[in-house]
Amino acid sequence: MKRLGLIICTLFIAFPAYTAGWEPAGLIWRPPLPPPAPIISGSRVSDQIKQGCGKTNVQFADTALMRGSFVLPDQWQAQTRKLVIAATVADDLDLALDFLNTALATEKLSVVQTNVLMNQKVLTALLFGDFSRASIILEELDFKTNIPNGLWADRLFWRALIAVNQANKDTQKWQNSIQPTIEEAARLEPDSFILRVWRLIAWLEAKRWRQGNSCAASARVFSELVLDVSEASACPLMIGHVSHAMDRHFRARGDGSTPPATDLAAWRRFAAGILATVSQDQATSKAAEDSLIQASRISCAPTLGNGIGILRLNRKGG
Amino acid sequence: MSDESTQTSSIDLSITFFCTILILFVFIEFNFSRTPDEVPDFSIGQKETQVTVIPPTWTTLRSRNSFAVLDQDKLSILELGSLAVGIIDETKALSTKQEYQMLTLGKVPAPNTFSLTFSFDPTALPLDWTRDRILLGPDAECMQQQLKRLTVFVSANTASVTPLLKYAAHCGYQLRLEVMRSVEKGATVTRLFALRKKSFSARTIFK
Repeated sequence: MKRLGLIICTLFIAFPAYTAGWEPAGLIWRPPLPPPAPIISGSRVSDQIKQGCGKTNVQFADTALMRGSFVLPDQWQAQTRKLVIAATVADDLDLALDFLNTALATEKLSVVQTNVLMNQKVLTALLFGDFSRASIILEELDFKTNIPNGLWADRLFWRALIAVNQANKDTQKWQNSIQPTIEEAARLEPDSFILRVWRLIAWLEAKRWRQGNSCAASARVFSELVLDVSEASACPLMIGHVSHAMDRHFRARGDGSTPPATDLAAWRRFAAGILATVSQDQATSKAAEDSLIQASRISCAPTLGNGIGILRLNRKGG
Repeated sequence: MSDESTQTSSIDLSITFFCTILILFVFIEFNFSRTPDEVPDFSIGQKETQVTVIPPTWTTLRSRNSFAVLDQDKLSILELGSLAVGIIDETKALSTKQEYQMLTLGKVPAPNTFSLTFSFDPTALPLDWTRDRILLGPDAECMQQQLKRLTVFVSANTASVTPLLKYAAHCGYQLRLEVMRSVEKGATVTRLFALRKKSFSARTIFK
């Protein structure tokens, strides 16, 4: 009897330990499901947190030459440089373009130098806010010339930017024209910060979450875009700037504690959660996770919330 | 013996009873006096809602500015075209001891890297460098120009910038103030325009 009692006691102690994590489904106990595969790259997040506010390869300049994306073997004549500088200083668009046209008329400009100056004309018009003039100059450019990738990328991006100015939230335009153009530009200039931010914006505007095989698959793609942006700098200040710039583009605050009400808001909240984790803002990351899980009526929102939760859990364990 | 053990048990029980009451009292007392924490509005952006925030500086395009100098209630708009002409042709650049411009070409291969130092008397901007002079007030006319962003050099001893702010609000200008050190009448200030690779560093952009 004593032996039987001992066996029964042992079973009572050992059985729960053995079935730890098992969940009852009626009378049947089922072993726990394997944890879902993380949808956010924990290793990239960890690397970025370690990097912190340190310098990276990502370039912030708005032209290929300033980014140093190619080496220009040709020398600039001093007078040509002065004309381009004068165009940079002038606060009248016609005057600035006259200076650049005079520079273009300089003898002994190489093909690459000519294209650099043509790009500068397009950018100057954009900096003055004259998108229609920029569009005209862009149309005059020869898109078949063999020029460095960086110059190509700049032209493609500006073409997309002009289209954005006219798009009026037309999702079809974003899907068929603008986003592919930005993706092509980013393929040519992967280290451009501006292109990385606009890839993120374009993905959201084109509503690409509808085209993934599953929420998890779409979330993986999107999270990589977000981490491409934060790779530029995991500094909270920069991340705050980017967040604010996106809020201005979408004309809405993206983060907060209330559950998102639309698909777009949910995906933006997901981005905010990832960026908050990278900048080690645990409270905002948790708030993003909780608000997404609560938004059960928005498709993919709970998956996105769980993704942030798994990321934070893996970081605590790791 | 049993009387002693009974007595000891009673004392133990009393002590336990009173300790329990004390713990409950402390627990309840602190709970009643505790106010619930406010739930913050989580954001990876601005945290301080009570502080006026200068808008972030990062934008896709670095929009062009006009420049002006404020002298009490007079706003002198800088004629950057004259500065530009002086860059191209040094013989046309102002070059006195007090008022001058000096260009230095930058080192990187981009053709438009440079620094331009220019010096002027803020109370008497040279005519060559003046596009317009506006007397600030309710009847002041708005400038006829393309750019809506205006950077104004303001001396630290300026009594009030309210007339300038009202003018900017009325004309729809996005205003930025650059404070200069206070100068005596007739003295000059030196400013610098520059574009270099450092202009695009994270530290410069994300302030």
